[in-house]
Amino acid sequence: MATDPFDPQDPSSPDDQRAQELTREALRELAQSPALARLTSTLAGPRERRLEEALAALRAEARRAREYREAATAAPPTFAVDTQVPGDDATWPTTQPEANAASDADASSAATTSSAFEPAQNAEPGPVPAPRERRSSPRGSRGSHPLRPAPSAKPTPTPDEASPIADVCLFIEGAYPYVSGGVSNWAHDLITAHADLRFHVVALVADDQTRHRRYALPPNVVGLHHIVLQPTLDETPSHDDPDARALLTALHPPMQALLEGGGVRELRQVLKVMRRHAHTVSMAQLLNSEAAFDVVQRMFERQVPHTAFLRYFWSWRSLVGGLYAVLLAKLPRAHVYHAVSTGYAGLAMARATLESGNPGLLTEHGIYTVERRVELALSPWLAPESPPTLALDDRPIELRDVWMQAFVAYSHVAYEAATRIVTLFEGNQTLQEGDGAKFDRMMVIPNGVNVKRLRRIERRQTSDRRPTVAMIGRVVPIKDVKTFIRAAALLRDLVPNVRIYVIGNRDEDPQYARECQAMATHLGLSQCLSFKGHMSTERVLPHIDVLALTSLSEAQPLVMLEAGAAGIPCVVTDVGACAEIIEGRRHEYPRLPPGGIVTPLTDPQATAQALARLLRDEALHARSGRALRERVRRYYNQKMVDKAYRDLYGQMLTQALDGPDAPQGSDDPPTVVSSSSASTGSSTGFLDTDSAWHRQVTPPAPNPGDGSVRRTLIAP
Amino acid sequence: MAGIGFSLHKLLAEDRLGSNVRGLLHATVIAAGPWLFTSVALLLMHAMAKPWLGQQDMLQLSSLTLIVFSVSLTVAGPLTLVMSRKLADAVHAKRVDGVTPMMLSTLGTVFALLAVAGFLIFGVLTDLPWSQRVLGFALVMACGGVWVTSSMMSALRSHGAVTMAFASGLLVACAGTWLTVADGGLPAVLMSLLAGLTLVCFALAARVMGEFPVGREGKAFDLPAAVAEHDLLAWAGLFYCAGLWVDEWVMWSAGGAMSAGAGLWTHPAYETAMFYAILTMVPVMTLLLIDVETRFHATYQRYFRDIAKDATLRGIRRNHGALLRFAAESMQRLVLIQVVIAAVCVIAAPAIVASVGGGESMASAFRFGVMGAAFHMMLIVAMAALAYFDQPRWMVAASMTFFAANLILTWTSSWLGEAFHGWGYAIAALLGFAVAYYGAASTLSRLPYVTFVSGNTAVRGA
Repeated sequence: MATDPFDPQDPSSPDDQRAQELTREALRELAQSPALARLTSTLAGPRERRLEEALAALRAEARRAREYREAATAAPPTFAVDTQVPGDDATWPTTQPEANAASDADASSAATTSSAFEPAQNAEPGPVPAPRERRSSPRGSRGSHPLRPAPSAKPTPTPDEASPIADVCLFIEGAYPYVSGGVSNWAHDLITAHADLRFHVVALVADDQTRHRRYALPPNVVGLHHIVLQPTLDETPSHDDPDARALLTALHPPMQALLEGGGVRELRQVLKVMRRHAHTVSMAQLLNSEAAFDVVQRMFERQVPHTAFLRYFWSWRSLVGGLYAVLLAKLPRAHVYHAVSTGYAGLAMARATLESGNPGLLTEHGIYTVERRVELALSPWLAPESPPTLALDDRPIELRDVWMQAFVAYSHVAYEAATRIVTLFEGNQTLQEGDGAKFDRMMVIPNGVNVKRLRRIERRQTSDRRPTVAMIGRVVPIKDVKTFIRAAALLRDLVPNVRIYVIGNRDEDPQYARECQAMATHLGLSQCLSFKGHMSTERVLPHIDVLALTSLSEAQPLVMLEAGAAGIPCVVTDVGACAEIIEGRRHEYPRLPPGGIVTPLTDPQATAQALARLLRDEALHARSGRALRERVRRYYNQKMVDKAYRDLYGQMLTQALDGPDAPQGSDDPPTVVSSSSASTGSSTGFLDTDSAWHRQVTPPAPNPGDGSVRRTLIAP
Repeated sequence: MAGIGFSLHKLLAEDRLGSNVRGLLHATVIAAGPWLFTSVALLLMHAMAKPWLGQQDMLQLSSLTLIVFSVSLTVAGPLTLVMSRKLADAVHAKRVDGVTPMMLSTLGTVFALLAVAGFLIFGVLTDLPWSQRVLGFALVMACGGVWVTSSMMSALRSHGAVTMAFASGLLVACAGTWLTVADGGLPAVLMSLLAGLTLVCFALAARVMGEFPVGREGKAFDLPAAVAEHDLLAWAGLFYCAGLWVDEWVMWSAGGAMSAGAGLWTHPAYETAMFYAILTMVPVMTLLLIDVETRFHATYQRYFRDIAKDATLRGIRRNHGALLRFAAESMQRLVLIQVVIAAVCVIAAPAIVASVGGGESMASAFRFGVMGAAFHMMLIVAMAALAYFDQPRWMVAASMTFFAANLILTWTSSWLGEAFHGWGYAIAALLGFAVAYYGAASTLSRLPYVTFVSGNTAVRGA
């Protein structure tokens, strides 16, 4: 009998050990956070019922995405054109003009999501970042950006307000550089790949506890600062503070309009009120004053008077507290503002674009509102409270609806403010459009993997071992490991000598992991199914024949791309971009065969049959593996991803340095004033909002400075 | 253990005159039992000792009794208040493993502090014979132990056990005095009192330890950390307890004060007048207990329970309205009764004072004392509300006002002549009540805001 290639006695590589250490550290930190405690309690109740609700939402999402794809297959592409990347024969659909060749990227990235409830709990284990030494290697070999000479300055070890003005300000919610995972890896790679641009990272974090960085900041990061969404407020305003009363009286109407589906116009009005009270406004006033409590009561009576006030109260503090934190935060000066999700990061980007007049870029990996919808469905404390009614139209507004309304509004603001809206795959775009994104601003830039490196992985011959299937992912409900285990039980009957692995962290939801292990034992799978901890995909891929994913939700799983690059076909559920990776995008040409099989959600029978087909039919297996390898090489090559962002940044920097157009979604006539501080370097590096607001009433005084006058657009 | 609220409800709900009387008596015994038993026991001991002791010894007995009770309460009060709070938290969280360590830790700290205070008083400041110094020192310690253990049992709502322990202990004290005073003199009386208080302390401690054995994982109680956490409560306890006695300490230097020898002082007229004046609080104290343990407790619990059980804003406002109505009605009733009692006592002061052998100077102090007791009772009501709604800042403000005003105004009045004795205490109680009332009214009227925001440690940090 063949030995287990993943046996613990098999010595791990130092990289693997380091990766495991990092993952464990991340999980330990998360385990200590109140956010995770809330999430854990969320998942500790009658799980099945809540999963059913979540599944309903996800099935609807999958159905919409499928319908969209099917409809789109018949329609001509409306926005994408293929662009040849020099040095690579692969094509890349994008609207961007061709630019300089991008050099190799040595790291892979994955998409994951962040939580608005607990932004710091983003812990997609996925590929753990490579050792720091390798990541922080000089990128001087990469081509310099045409608009910006490579920075000579050392990175700011302790970012402060003296940071130079950045080319790109990156807003990231609940991830980089404190949580290792998909979005963090992506952000780190993005910054590293653009070594010639100066980045200022704004990390939106849940609370003000001390955090440890999981990533060494690349040399081109000129600043890092935080927006604490739920800060500790020791201060309580004095009894019926008149300043707070005046502020909140003025703020209430536009805030209400914003939260109930408003956009940039409403945000602008909110900012206007905040500016009028800039000398006194504070988080304590906005959240802890009696006037603030009156606002909560008024909003409760308006929105959900039949529900639990206590829950509404905490919902309000969470939703609006984050919004206030973003509105009060000091934002760095940059030429381009780039948010890596909608939500609070998107709001910060919107505010920065409104106040600076510079362009905003939005990259959405998972769709924020969809992820929040799933989280809300899984949150027992937000369970529907109204009795069921026969009349569909009579369903009263629930607290979940209030949350969703706010999240959709936040997304709407970000979409309106962004000059470009990027996502990983086409299926997401219909969801973005549903939340208010304008189609002509949307584009797709997928995740990429290092095709060259993964192609070199040598796979062991099938004859040396038993047919092997692996599911790689965290053992958590959203990955629906139980469906995979049920499929494994059926597969064992179809392919008797099959070897099955579940490879991924079990620490994140120990209760669920125990249930999965108990289920495997109960189904008598102990001889053929093994649970393994986190491992690098490069260690796993040589030993498996098919990769399986039964996830309830995914964006664009990196592990699929990595398996595909290694020529391993996949059996995946129809979520996120999985079907697109397996079957190809609608305008793929020349058309490639499927790289595996797509199955419905929570269908163990279909998963087992698909796995059995690929394991028993060698021709199908080989054909699928080749097709997937080719598809990944063509469309998910890290080089092309880097180039696409390089082109986008190039366009936007040009726009910013030459002079911005009116901000997107602006309904009011803009006031254009001049400011040379961006180019003279005399500024503190932060948006001087007081001065910016002051400039509204100050006649603009053009100051050519060094010739690169930057026009700043200030809201009237 | 069932709270007394249920039995009071039951007794008061029976629609018969007899059951109402039983209910009131039950409440009286619970509310003021230890206090009444102690007062009666001290009166009896003084009466039994009087034929056998000289005037000097009687004065020393009075002075020593006051020192023992006042010093021990002032030292133990702040710590017992903090301990009671932590105990309530532990009971609420169903972590009763820590009850006994909590008591032992508090007792240890109180004994250590009282040892210092006792040494200063009986070792340095007074010149008593050694036997009386030792007895005085031991009495301070025993009395401190009684404050801690009885507070603990009251916080656990074992009012019956407290009353029984006091009754037994003070019976022993009285019996001992009666049997030994003829031959033993003052030391025998002090020894009897020590035996009685020690019995009370041990009985209550044994009850706590028996009812709440230390669990296998029972950890030592970190009293300094608890005091640091509830420092405002400790300050409130210190000022309030000191405020209870500061006028009597100040009066040792006023006209009419008498030296008891050996460095001890007493003001018989003032102390006796105050002793009787404060007894006028017993009826309202009883009614307060009935109100708190029955209707208020239910309304209070409903308010918080409904919030936790997903009440709508309308439900929260309805419960808040019920609390406000109850507070207004209760306060109105208690104040009215206390004012009537005070008015009757003020009018009948000469007769009352004469019946206990007092003179004209004592009648004046008694009048002010009765008025002070009325305001003091209202202060207690308002402080209870502040404690219930967790407003330690207002408690500190009220108790500090009470203490400072009592100190300053009593000292001032001591120079104005006998006609003004007791005036300081009366005005101090009124001022303390005014502050506490403002705090309580402000808290109650804004209760939803206080509950959700300003008093919510989850919002503003612990």
